[in-house]
Amino acid sequence: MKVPVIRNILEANDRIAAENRALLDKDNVFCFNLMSSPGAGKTTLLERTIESLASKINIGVIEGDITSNEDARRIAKKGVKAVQINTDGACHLDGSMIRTAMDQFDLASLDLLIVENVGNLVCPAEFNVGEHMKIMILSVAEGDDKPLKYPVMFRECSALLINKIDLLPYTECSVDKIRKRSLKINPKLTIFEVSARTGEGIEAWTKWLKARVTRRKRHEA
Amino acid sequence: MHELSIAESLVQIVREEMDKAGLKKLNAVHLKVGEFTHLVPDALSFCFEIAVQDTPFEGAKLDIELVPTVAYCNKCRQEFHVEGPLFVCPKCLGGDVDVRTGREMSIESIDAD
Repeated sequence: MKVPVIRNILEANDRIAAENRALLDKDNVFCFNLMSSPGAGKTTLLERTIESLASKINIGVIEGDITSNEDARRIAKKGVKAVQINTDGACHLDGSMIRTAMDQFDLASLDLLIVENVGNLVCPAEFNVGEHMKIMILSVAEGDDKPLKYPVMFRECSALLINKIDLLPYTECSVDKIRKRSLKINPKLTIFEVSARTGEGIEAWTKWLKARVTRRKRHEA
Repeated sequence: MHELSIAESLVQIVREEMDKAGLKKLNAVHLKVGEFTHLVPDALSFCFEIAVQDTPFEGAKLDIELVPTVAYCNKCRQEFHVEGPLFVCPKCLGGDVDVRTGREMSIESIDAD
């Protein structure tokens, strides 16, 4: 016999993500989920971001990696609490992993919680973790065709950081093409051009981010 | 390879529904999967097979209906099929569009005795 069901396959994850979100909102903590391919510069961007904002707001970081605690150590060196999640092979973070990590923070003392996802432009796009915003990095070394190849990620994100612009003279990459292609997938994307290595463009990004955190504190977003 | 964790979520839901309806033998699960997801039907079927191995559901098949990506242009007030990765209205070439279908990942029904 045929039994109608009509249930979202990812409902269990979505439910936990919604609970995470409620916990964040209770303490007015802004949370973004940072995604990119491996080596695009997520951790370096976070180091620069922390350097710029840590004296103004309280930041916590959840580091997702398949293995190793290298990234959490780098973040902790900047004087910010970092909790490492090792997925043991899984290609993305999910809601329950984030819940476990969130439990290790005193959320009431935080303004901003950053989730650094596993380096991957595919799977993390499908799993909500309770974040207010998904943000991605694309480094110019990866090429300007990536929006066309990973459109789900570009559509799901609210902001795109084009990183490693200091390397532009050594690549065939066109920032203009990245912009045009990304905006045709998602016209609402806010785009920043940065070099996390040299610090170029970082101020505009951190200013924008801080405004998001402040808005959350005032219950405006 | 996120299909395995998705297959496990799927089996969990199917188990709940089977218990609720008092059914024992699972023949097939009908799914709707949107084109604009990173869910690969063949990979999902393969992972489902693994997830039900040595369980009472072993041998059950997945029947996956692909849902095309359809968007709605807020300016032209009409729907269009999104071909390729770009969300651009074919009529006005604008980007003020909402995705109507294509992001589905749902169980529609189960076939069981």
